[in-house]
Amino acid sequence: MNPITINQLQLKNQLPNIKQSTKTSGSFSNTLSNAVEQLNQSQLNSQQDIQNYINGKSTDLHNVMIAVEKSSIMLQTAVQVRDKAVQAYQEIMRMQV
Amino acid sequence: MGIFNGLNISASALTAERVRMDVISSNIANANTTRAKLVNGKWQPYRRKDVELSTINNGFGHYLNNAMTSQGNTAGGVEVSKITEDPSPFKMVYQPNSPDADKNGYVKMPNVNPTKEMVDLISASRSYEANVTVLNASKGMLLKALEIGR
Repeated sequence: MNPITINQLQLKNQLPNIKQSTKTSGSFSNTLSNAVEQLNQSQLNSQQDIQNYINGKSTDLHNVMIAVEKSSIMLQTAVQVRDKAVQAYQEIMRMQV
Repeated sequence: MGIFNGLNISASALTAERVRMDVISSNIANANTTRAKLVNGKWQPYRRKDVELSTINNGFGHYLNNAMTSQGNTAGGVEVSKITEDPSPFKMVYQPNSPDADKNGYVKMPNVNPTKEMVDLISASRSYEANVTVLNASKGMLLKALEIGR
């Protein structure tokens, strides 16, 4: 076999492992705080866009609206995740001891 | 390639349509402008402007990603690549009293055709609407996905 193709195959096999190792290295609390940080950042971004529009720095209304929609969707996703987590917690607390 | 890819593509299209609209309004506003540019001490009339659109592809990274994931080519958004000038000849109008008239009494008027501009205007406005509809549909899909299991 051509050495180049062998290298490519090995690279392809290794790629998923690398990805998985970076994913599993962070603890749950790290992942959670990262997600919350991202959500906060998107809220701040949309706020900044609105402020720029009002101050006349940005001229595109649709970009402001899209930023607001994006942050709204991210917030709703976070609410869904919270609901699921609370639901799981309550399910466990209802266990008979 | 995040979850907001569709929204970003629609956003680029909305921006491009806004630029098209700006160019059309400039064309209509200057439909009678005889003094737009000074060339060798003589005033030239306004030349009609046109917008050139092209697909956004993010260069090398875009192609590498396509080759590695073998998902096929997911096209990106649209952007205004160039604003060109229409090279068609100016209209000659007989106005001997105008200060811009030549020795035969003719004035060069801009090569703007109001009918064509109105058609372009409708086209830009409807394209904008179509892209807003696409954007709302992608947003609806994301919101529906959040309802899974509720």
